[in-house]
Amino acid sequence: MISKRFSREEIIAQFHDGQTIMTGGFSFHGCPELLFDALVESGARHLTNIALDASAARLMHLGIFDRVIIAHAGSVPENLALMASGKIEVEFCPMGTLAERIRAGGVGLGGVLVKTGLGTVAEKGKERITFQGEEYILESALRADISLVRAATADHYGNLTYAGTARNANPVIAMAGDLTIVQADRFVPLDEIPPEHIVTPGVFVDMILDHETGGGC
Amino acid sequence: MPGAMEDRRVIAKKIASWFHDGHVINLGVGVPILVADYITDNVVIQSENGLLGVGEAIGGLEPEAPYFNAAGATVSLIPGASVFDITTSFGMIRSGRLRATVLGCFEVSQFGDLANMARPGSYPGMGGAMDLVSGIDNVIVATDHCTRDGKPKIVAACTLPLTGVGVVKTIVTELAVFTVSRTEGLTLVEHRAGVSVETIRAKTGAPFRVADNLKEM
Repeated sequence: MISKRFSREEIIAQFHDGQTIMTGGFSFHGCPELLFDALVESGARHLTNIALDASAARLMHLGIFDRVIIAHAGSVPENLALMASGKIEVEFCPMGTLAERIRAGGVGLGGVLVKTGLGTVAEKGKERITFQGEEYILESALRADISLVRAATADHYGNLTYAGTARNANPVIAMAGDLTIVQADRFVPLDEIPPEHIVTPGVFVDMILDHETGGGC
Repeated sequence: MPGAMEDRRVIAKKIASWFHDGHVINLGVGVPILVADYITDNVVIQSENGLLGVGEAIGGLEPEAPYFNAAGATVSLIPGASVFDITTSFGMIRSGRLRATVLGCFEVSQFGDLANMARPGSYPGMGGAMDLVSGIDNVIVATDHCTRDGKPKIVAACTLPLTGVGVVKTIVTELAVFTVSRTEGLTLVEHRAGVSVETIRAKTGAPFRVADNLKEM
């Protein structure tokens, strides 16, 4: 089977101005920090970030995002100030709905019907649909040019497992990228992960960062 | 003495007494999380970042610890706990598997409208709160009766952006327990020992009926 391990330089070359970048992580936990570094080093600008929260906050401070789609900005005052100033355009989406929009994008659906947020700001600008006698908000699917994912274990084909609650949105984000790039804590030979324990099948993964996993990650 | 820890523990003990073997509950930050200190052994706590069976909070922000709750704190797990991705987490929330969610508030209206995501001039996003109040039938608000400067948090109509419309079923403060009807409004069902109905009326920004069988908390 082909190997999907790529050098840091090869990964940096994938980032370009104006792309939409999805990033895994929740409360700074389960973030692909080495891929964040690669993104910064690429110099790409005017990006859109889709993530559960502002776990990529340190990238926000660098001004590389023009727009973010998130559920919560956290309590970092600098982030809130950036958003309030209009330097970053923000679309807030309820977290469970955001997760389903990403999943829909990853599994070939056009959108989802949700009851969450009916009658609130979450409904603004969206279509309300009556279906089988129930009211729903029609929420569009989300995809990204590049998805950045943090895994615990990866093999050559890109089969992935996740560690603890570092899993969070990483599995659905892995499915929703035109190009999915993975930072794994451990790289293992094919067949080491029992097939039934694989969380993300390798078909969803395009590149795995080739990095030293002996320490520090 | 709004906000005193002893008062908050009164609120938490009261709410914890309503849950029994096998109930699954989700607790928000602030006063609600104190409920975890008083639940019986077989009540299961869900955390929306992807945990069922949260044990004790065991530390602060340690990025490489295996298990985190939604507030970003390191936690232990109870035997039988499970870890899953964000769509599974909100899937169990939306599909009615949880007995209750306990949330804090900035304002709660007499008809159960909840505002708990934005103070005036600061809006960090709704996070998972809209999904929780929309997907879980029994929404309990656990809050100080008044703000730090003595203003009622229970109001005739909310002025802040709404997390949910008509979603709250019960309000518990250090002074009182109210049931909430979307059409009939508030009913005072319990009062703190030594606190008169008149005192509660003076500190509540909305009308309420008094239950025939009014009890002490």
